[in-house]
Amino acid sequence: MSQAEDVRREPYMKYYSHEEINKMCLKVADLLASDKHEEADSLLKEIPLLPKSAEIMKRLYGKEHMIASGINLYEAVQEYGEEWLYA
Amino acid sequence: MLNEDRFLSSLASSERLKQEAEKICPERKAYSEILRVITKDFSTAMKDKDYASLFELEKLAQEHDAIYHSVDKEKTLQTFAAMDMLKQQFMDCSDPEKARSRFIPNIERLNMQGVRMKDKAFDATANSICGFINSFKSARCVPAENGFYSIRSDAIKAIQKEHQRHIDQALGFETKERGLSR
Repeated sequence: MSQAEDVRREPYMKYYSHEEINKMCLKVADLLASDKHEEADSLLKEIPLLPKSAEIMKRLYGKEHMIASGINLYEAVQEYGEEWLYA
Repeated sequence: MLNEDRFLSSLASSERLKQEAEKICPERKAYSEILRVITKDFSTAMKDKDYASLFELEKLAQEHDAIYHSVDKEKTLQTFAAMDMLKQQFMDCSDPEKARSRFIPNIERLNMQGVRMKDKAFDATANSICGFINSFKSARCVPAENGFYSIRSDAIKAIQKEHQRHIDQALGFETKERGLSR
C-alpha cells in the first residue's frame, strides 16, 4: 500500500471563502514562480479542488487515490454530495 | 450604417484595456504563471524522453479542456479515442518483436524489403490530435495559453518521432537523421 494511502483514509474537506481561495491561488503562482514546488504542492492540496476536476481525478485514478491524495474535496462534496465520494 | 472609425477605435480601446489588465490584474498574471509552470512539465518530460508522462499529461490536459473549454463535444470524444489508440500503438511498437510482427508480414508479401516503413495511420492520428490542440490557440489568447497549447502539440510530434524510431530500429533501418548514432 502506498504511503499516501497509509496516511489518509478519510477525505480531506475544509471550507475556505472565495477571497481566501483567491489569495491561496495567487500564493501558489508566486511559489511556483520562485521554484518553491514543495510549498506550492502543499498549498495546492489545501485549495478546494473544483468539483469537475475532482470528478476527473476520481474517474481516472479512482476514489481511493482521490481520498488518499489529501486534496481538499470540500467543494466537490458540496456539489455532488458525500455519497459521490464512495460511489 | 457602419462607422469604421468607431469600430476601429473601440477595438483599439479594448486592446488597451486588455494590456492594462495583464499588467495590473494579479489574477491574470498568476494565471499565466501557473500555465507557464505546467508548460514546463511538458518540456521536462520531452527533454527526459519520458513518453509515459507525456501521454499522461496530455490525457489530463484534454480531460480538463473537455470540461472547461471545449465547444465541440463530438470532436473532443474523437480526440480521446485517438489518444488511446496512439498510446496503444506507441506501446506496442516500443516492443521490437511486436513492431516486427506488425510490419514484416506485409513487407514480405509486397516484396518491399529495404524500404523504410512509415506508420501513416499513426501519423494521421497524431496530426489530427495536434490540429485539435491547436484549435484552442488564438491571437486573443494570452501568450502563456498559446505556449501551453504549443508545447502539447510539440509533445505529440515528439511521440510521433519516437514511434518512427522504434519502427526503424525494429526493422533494422538506420536513418541519417541528425542526432542518431550510426
